[in-house]
Amino acid sequence: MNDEFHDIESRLSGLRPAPADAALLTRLEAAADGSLLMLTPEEGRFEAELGSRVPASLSPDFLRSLEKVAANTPFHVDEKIVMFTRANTSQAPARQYRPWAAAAAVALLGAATALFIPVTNHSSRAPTAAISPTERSHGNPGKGVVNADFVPAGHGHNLQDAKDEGIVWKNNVPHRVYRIEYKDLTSFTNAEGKKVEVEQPREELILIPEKID
Amino acid sequence: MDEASDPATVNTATDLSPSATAWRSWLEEHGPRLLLFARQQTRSNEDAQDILQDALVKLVDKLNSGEFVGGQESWLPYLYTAVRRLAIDLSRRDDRRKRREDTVGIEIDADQKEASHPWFESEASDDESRAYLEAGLKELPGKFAEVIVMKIWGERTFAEIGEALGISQNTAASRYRYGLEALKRKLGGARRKGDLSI
Repeated sequence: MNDEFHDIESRLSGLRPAPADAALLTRLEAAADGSLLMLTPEEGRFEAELGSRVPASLSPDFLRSLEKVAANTPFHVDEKIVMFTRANTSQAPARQYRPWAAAAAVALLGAATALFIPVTNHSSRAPTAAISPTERSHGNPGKGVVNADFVPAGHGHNLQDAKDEGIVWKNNVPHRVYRIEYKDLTSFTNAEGKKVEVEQPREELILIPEKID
Repeated sequence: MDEASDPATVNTATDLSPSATAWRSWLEEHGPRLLLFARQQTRSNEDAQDILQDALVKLVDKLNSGEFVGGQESWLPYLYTAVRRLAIDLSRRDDRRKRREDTVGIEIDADQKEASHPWFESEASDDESRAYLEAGLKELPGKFAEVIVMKIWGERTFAEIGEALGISQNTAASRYRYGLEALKRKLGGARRKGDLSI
């Protein structure tokens, strides 16, 4: 380092930083003790006077345009309650069509009828264990069985599976959906000890209102 | 005609979904405060409306996509931050445009237009003091005015203001205090002359 640099360095090191002004020192002290965040009574009064002024309300057109922006967004009241976006028009609950349940009901009705209908036609026709699926679903399984002098011997629902299908919204109310699968089994026997079994798969969808406070 | 006796208004209200009704009352309550902040951040009422709408679109997009973190209490902080960022972006775009165009005439028109969109509600008898207050706020350095608007009319805490502006709560409090002092000085002259009721 040459003499010129030494000279500049000694001059600079002789300088002292200017002291902080009183206002800055007061502010730093206030920041340190937390009082900076609190207003003096006079400041509070002025703040209250300003606060008495009300911001101009939104023009109807502008409010409508903002409402359009949010129209399809559920309104979250809190983490559990969410207001739904569908119109608040109550609708009659739609009947749920369950073809398997209907078919099962027909089959069971037929089987039950067989218990009470007096058997007059004692056919010697051998029972047919292999009943076509069509007959199982749409025909009257009891008829052929009655003709063959079979009588119901047993019935079971045979639960196969149960699944939680999640939540659906129905009439603005959340419902949990459970899908239950059965394989109804009705058995018939005759005097010769022959046995016919009719299987009927069945599915139920159960909607249970979900509690959301 | 008051709202309750207006059949059209009643029908509209009852036809709204629960969500739409809730949004309406939320916007009626918080919209004016947010718009005031947007107006403080921008050069015109139109810009402020555009920015507030864009900020709401951002919020709604996040809510719909499930990306929004926090509950309803976090909406306002998010919107204040979004409004400020969008205003900064708009200001940069405007600056670039201004460098390309001669905007003297446009600015005079804009000032005249702004006068017809007051920042605050006022009675006719009180309009002069409102105009003084508005002018005082507009003349304040932006960094003071934004803290004052958020604290007084947005009812934000210093911590929330600090978070929205990217500064500490102590800095927010200092700016607020300096801003109040400066505004008081500006309004002092009008107050002495009796032009100002506050």
